[in-house]
Amino acid sequence: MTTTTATPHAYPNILSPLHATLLCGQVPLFLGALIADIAYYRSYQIQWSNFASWLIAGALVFAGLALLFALVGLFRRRNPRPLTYFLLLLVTWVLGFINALEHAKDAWAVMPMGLALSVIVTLLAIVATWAGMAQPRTGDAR
Amino acid sequence: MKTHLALTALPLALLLTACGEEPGSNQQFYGAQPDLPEPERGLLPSMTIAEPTPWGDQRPTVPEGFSVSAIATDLKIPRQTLVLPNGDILVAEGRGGNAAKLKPKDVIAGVIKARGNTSVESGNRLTLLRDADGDGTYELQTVFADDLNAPYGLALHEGSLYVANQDELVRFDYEEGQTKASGSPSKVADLPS
Repeated sequence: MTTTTATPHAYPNILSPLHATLLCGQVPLFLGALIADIAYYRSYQIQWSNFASWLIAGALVFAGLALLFALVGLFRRRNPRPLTYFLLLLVTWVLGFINALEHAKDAWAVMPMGLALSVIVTLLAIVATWAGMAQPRTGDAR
Repeated sequence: MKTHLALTALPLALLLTACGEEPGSNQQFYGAQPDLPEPERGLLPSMTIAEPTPWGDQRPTVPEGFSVSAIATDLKIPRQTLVLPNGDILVAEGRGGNAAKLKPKDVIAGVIKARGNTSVESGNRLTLLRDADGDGTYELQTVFADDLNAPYGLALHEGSLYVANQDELVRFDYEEGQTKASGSPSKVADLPS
């Protein structure tokens, strides 16, 4: 706990710009899918379901790459990333993938499961991103 | 695709176990009160894709006195034929596939379904076969018209050859004995595709 070796980073858990971009990028994509699902639920216009499908696919690309970063981050010698962040992102991706399969169904067969999954996955994506971007408070640096 | 499946194999396997029941052997699928199987709503389709196999040496079985042999080979997905008044045969060659990819599923399903199909490219043309001496061997095989869009329906009416492309109906002028269209076709009407 003595400051003999000055830490090179003022914020030990800061994400690399690419990691941060991928992690944050999934949120508006999942959110967009949720909004499209709500629009489909209210309007019965199938095109909204198509929009949601593509947004989820895009979100899975972003979340999947961020997941790779998070996995590698677990094994950093200096300041490994918290396991909770990785697990949250993993659950987000797996449920997101199931949601993508759900959205591959034809027309109204997507409902109501697709909408429910979209709500859950969007919330999970926000929480996972929060966990990934959060900085440990001064004093409890790992 | 494979990595996706591998990563999620476990949860999916759990989800899919619910929908693999064998239908009873004494079920009756016809009649006034058909005993239909329950609809399945799994996440992944459980069907398999048939593997395309070439004819090889196999031939359809025909009655005594008949024989089956190919009158033309190396066609590019022949779909429809029209016998012309002088005995020539026109073959429409092409593969459809203008359907819009509306969902990511359509892209993936296209790749998977293509495995059950021929890998020959769409010909987009009409081939003319001629057996001038009537011995059953079509010695002339030539391209009658090219640059069509997955032609299918063919009809000859009052000196005009009508060809239904995937997206439009076109007309060629036709004179008996022609082996090549005299020019590019003229459009008759758009077709929904």
